[in-house]
Amino acid sequence: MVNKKLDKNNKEIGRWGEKKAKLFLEENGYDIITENFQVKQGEIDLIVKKENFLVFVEVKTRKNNFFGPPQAAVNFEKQRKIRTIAKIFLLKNNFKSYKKRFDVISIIYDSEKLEIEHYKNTF
Amino acid sequence: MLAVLKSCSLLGIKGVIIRVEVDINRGLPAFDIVGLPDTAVRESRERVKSAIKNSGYDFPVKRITINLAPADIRKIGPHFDLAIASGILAAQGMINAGKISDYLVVGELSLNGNVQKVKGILPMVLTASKNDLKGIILPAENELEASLVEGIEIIPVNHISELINIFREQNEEYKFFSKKRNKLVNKNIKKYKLDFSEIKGQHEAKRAIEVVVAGSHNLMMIGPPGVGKTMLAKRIPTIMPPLLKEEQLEVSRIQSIVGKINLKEGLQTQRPFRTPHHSITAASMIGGGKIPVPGEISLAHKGVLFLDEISEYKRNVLELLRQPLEEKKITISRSTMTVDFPAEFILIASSNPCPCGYYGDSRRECHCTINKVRRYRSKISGPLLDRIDIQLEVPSLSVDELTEYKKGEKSKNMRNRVVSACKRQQFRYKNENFINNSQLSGKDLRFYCKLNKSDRLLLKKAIRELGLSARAYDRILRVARTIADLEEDDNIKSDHLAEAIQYRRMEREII
Repeated sequence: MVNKKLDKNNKEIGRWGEKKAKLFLEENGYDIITENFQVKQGEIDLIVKKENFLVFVEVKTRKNNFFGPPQAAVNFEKQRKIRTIAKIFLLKNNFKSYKKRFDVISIIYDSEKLEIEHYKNTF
Repeated sequence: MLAVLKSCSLLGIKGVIIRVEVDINRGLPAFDIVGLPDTAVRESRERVKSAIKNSGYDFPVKRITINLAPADIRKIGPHFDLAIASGILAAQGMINAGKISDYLVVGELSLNGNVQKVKGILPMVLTASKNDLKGIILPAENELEASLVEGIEIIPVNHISELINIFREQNEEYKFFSKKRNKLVNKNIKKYKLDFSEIKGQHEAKRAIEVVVAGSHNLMMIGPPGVGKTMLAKRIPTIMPPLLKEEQLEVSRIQSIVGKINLKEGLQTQRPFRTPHHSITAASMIGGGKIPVPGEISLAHKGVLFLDEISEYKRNVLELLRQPLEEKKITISRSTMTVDFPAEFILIASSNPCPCGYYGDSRRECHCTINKVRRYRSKISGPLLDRIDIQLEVPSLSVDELTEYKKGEKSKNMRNRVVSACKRQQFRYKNENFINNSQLSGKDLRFYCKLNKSDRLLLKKAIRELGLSARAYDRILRVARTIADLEEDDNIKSDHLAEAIQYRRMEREII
């Protein structure tokens, strides 16, 4: 929190990336169920469905690769968190007939190019 | 993308081929090692990662799974690093997986990619050659040790980039250099600073030592402090016969496992002489650990284990020697595995006769009570004493002997007699599966140690009067055989037998 400006900037990048991910998923035939499903434990960026799958999606956006690739930031702790929130979502909503899946979408963005990678069934 | 390489694990003194399977997949970045890895193996993740990065190659941002098969053998040691790193490079197609899988790959990596030496290379190279592999890729520092094994290609590497250069995918042309092996010549007999001629008097002790070394028997020296028990023992290496060719490899193999092999002066021809301190624990004496490693008795294989002040050792440690003294090997059982280590050693022990040290001394009075003496001696149990062929009193020298200027007999002469006695044994047992008198047993013992009628009576009398056990009977015969060999006699004569009987002194002594 030392540099509020930068912090805000990163948040903005994150929101921007989530929008891009949403478009990307829609293009690929996914139906969006919820965006930013928030509970007190945290949030899940996107919850989508396609065919028989209910998919919880974590979107990671980075400007560069200096601190390793975006997908490397989804560590065990983050995975655990997402799993917990997914359980809460399933308690509140009835998706019993669906198979569940956790995906990660990594987005690297700099001024020239935009790279989107979709990792399915990651954890 | 899958790559399968071969590495090696050690079980006892034998090597087992371990398949290192590396699978690289798309997915969240992860790096897992499965297949019962121990701590040092699991830590290899960090070393491999850094080594690849710091050598200027990309470490894949992918899901990497390593399997060490067969998965039921516990893998220990850092020597899997090089195989794991090579597997990751091979799975990415940076090196030729097909080519490298013909070789055994062992080596520890440092964070900058240097390949560091590992323990146990010798048994690993032997495993590679037994399993008809083309060769072995190993740390350059271990090259000399590996070259003891003939007929196998050795590729020494200093840095992981050397390995990459050799096995590069495009590199079709590369001619595997069959480097000239450093010929390990057996240097001449090592020069010792010590010599038996420095010891005045003690002719009986010197003679007994000669018998012990010539026939691989066991010896216990008992005497007051300062009479030269330790001095005598320290000079035993100077009269030991050199190791036979096949023994050299066996001894080097055990030293290789504990990383104590030293080949700067060529292949070791000296018999080991081990002098563990009396604070030694059971595990370090006979060997032990989750994955058992050899202990002092195996390090003394084909050589001497010298226990100075034997009554100071922990009793349980001494009792552990009983089985290996008979079997010439030690079987170590752990929940996960059972391994055998060879332990064919000459036990030489020294002790004082009582706590104050002067019991039976001609020049000083002992002030221990009888009970004290008994308690002191009971530390060395009957069963252990029974296994010691020669129990010798080393008396203090008289003033005249002490101040005498004349030197004792030289080690060189003693050694010559020992060597010729050993040669006689080897010649006599050339069609047997043993090479010295101490290995005679049962049928062979009766065949090679024939006694005439009067000698049989003498032995019978000795057994009855000294209350000797059946084992002691066998041991007396073996010692008599060695004495006859030293005297260059084909048959055991009554002199030889009588000398052998009088060496069992502790059993005779009545306090």
